[in-house]
Amino acid sequence: MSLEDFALILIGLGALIGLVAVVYAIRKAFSRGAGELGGWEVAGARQIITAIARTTLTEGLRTKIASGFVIMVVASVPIFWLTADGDGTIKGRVQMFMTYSVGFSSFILSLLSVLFSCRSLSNEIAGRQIFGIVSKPVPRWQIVMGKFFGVMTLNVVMVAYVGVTTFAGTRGLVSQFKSRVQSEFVTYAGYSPEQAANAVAALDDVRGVGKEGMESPILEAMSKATGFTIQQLAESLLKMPEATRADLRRFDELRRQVLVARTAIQPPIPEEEIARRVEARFNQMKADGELPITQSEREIRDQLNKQFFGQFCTVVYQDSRMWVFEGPPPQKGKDYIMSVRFKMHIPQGLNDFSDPETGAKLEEDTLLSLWGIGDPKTANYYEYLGAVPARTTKEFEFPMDAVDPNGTIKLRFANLDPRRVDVVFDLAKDALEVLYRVGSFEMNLFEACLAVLIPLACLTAFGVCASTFLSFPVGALLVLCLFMITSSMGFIFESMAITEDYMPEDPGVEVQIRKAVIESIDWALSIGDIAVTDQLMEGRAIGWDRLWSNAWRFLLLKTGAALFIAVLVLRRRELAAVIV
Amino acid sequence: MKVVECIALTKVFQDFWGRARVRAVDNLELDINPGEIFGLLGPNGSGKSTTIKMLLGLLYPTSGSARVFGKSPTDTAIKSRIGFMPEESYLYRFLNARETLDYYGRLFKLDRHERKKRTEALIDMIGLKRAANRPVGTYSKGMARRIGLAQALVNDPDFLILDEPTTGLDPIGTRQIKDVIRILGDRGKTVLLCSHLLADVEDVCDRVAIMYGGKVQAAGTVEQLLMHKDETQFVTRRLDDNALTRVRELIGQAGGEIMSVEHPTDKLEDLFLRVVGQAQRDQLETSGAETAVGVSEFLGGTGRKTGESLVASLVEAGRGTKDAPATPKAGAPAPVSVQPAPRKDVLSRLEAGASEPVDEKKKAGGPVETPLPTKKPDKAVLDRLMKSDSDGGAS
Repeated sequence: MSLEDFALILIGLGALIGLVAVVYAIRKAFSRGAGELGGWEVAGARQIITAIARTTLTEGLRTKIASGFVIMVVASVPIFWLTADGDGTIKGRVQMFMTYSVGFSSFILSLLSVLFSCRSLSNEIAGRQIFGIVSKPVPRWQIVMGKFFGVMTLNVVMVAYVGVTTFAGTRGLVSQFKSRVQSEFVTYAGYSPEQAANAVAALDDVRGVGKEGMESPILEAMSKATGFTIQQLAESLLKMPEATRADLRRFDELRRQVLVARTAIQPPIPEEEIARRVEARFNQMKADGELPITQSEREIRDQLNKQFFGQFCTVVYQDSRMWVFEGPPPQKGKDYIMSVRFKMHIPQGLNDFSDPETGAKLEEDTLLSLWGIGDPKTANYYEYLGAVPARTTKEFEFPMDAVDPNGTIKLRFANLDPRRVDVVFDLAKDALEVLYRVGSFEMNLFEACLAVLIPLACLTAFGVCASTFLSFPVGALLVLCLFMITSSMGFIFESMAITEDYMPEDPGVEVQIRKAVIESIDWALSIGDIAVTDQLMEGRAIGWDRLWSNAWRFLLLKTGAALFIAVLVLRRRELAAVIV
Repeated sequence: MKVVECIALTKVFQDFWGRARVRAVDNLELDINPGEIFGLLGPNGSGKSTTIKMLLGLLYPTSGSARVFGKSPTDTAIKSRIGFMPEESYLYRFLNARETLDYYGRLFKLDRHERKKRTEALIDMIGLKRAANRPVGTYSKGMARRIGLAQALVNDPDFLILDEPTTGLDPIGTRQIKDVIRILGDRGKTVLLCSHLLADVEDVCDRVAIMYGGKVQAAGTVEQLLMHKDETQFVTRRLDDNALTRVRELIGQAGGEIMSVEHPTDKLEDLFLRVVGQAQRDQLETSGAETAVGVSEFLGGTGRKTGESLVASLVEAGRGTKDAPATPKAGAPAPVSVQPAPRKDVLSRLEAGASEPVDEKKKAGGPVETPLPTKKPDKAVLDRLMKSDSDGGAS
């Protein structure tokens, strides 16, 4: 018997056992045995669920297990506000504060949800307080829902606190920064307090694409607000600390790249064109008798596919490439700007370079390149020439009027580096995007809070479900394990070698089973797919459509399923039963 | 309609592997009539609490059936008519007394005004007004028991189940709970009192059943079970030697035999209550429970807005069945054979030399009221019954 046959038999047996288990569970759940038969009453449910939820919430606030976590969250946000530093700039501080405040709080609230939801009901069963509820006219589904809503109320309150304090903290950091700049205008540049206040107030009115030096729109806005010429302002700024000057630009970036909600578009991948080339090349190799005899047709085609996709992502030395994005309709005016965000990969490290003729220098791991946006035949075409760091994500802005009237964005890149190096943009991993503003930071933060609540609801439902048949420590450990597993699915995919990078050309049955099992676990355990902190840090809009997609997949489907199972188990359970 | 009806009720507890290990209740046949104060007696492990838990839907019968108000115990609708005080006060330690009662009131969907009214009335009733804002986790066991009683009454139940209600209570609390049970009985409530404290049951119950090994071993009214039919007891003011001699002669002439002559003593409970009552009248400070103030009016009292006719009918029905003998079903173990008890007014009739008059109500077939005896017979009878049960069967 081959390994594949053996694996298929195992799969068949597993499926059969699974089917029997499911049928048995359904039969037990709905059988008219000696157990609970009724208990689906809806009338008056709101009042009872509210009462149980309220008591659960009181328990959370008055007992150590939940209040400890609550205190951690409440105390951590101000601590992060005081300590977040990032790269030392205002942008870095705000990004770091948001990441710590939302990320840490989400993690702590996840632990709180698991421990509290597992503890509340199972402790009531173990401590027999449940006798006082079940002996009253309370259907058991209402007990489950009461517990769920009790824990979730605490979660909602805490997430609201985190949202409000993060917003206030962000504003506080900005306000602190402005106060510092204002006092430095007075101290170093000799401005009157009123002039300094006007100069700082102008920071919120900066319009247009960020540029360095005398062309900076920051100088333009300050000039308009204070009445000084750009030259005078530039001289004043030169008297101020260098860190402050850099911070003025970072603050402008913060306004437009972080404290906003932006959506991203990626260049379309010409799959049909790639497939056509693969087909043509394969046929040609076949005709020429060049097909490797050690490889199957599928392996050869996969290899060709990777090769042509790689070519599409690569810009060789002295070559250029144009990508066409499907973007929004163009907007005229300085207020409307877009960003190109990219990360260039170079196969090997680049050393310093000095042009023997001109004496121009290129630093290590920077690449001389030319970016062009828009139609070169029109006035709304913008070019950026310069050395750009490789292997790090960079972003530059361009006016939105570069967008074609039909909404397409033509982005051209030319590899001009004299060190004869090829540049790769990994388009499968969003290494090239165009971003533009679609909403406010405030609304995005609100959406982020809602997105945080979705996994918390899932964890709470899992916890309540576990507590209907497991004691507190066992249930909590189980759900925590599930939480840890789902949090590290990326690592598990890699360690099991089933990511795209590791998959062999022609995976055998064993690999397919492994992949199917891990993907099934991922599907069953995943509790949300929005990386909230990343989204906030990069000023990316979460979006209602994505929220809704998460809501029905995780909130309605998984939370609902977990709560339904919890109700079935609790209805069948003899709450005063003893095992002898 | 009977309040409780158990037909061949059986509960078998299993081990981890699902094997039957302990037959806690075995073919139990039991009826409780409306308006009755029913005592379920038995030593530890006799199946009392298991029976109660099956009546509440906390356990499911292995076989047989239990009906409460004619419906399955798992029917949530009937639970609005039941009050349950478990054998220990399983309370939320983080709530105070007011919050606790308010919470249970919410579970009965009482409106805010009614909840507040009942909460205050019950706190007054159980004497915990000063401690009402303390978390119940800080209460003594007796105080927690009082809250346990109050939560059982918050819905003004028609059927009150009390599982070991006096455990952990001081004599005042014990007396108070017994008073509450009596008053509720007078107001037409049905009470199931489960206890192994014989004095509690003896003091308040109309009918009792004694369980052992999961079965009813004896059942009947308290008087039926406890009366010494072949003995007569006189209680008089102090007699001098001369009078005693004449009484002895008179009894001797009537063919009787004096078995003992002694001065009656107080119960220690009465002495305790007198001493503590005096201290409370002197308003000495205490951090515990205070003097209670009777039974809250809302508990089936005259102020009830709903259910008055039900209560009245239950009272009437209860009176009509008060003297009814226990009703073991076919197949159930045979209860102790009990003769009808003599009337309490036998002394006066003896003194008057008259024959026993025929009770007019009884003759007419009407309800007969049996007042609780003021001085109970020796409860050692019950102990002997239970001992003989444990020795191998009914006597």
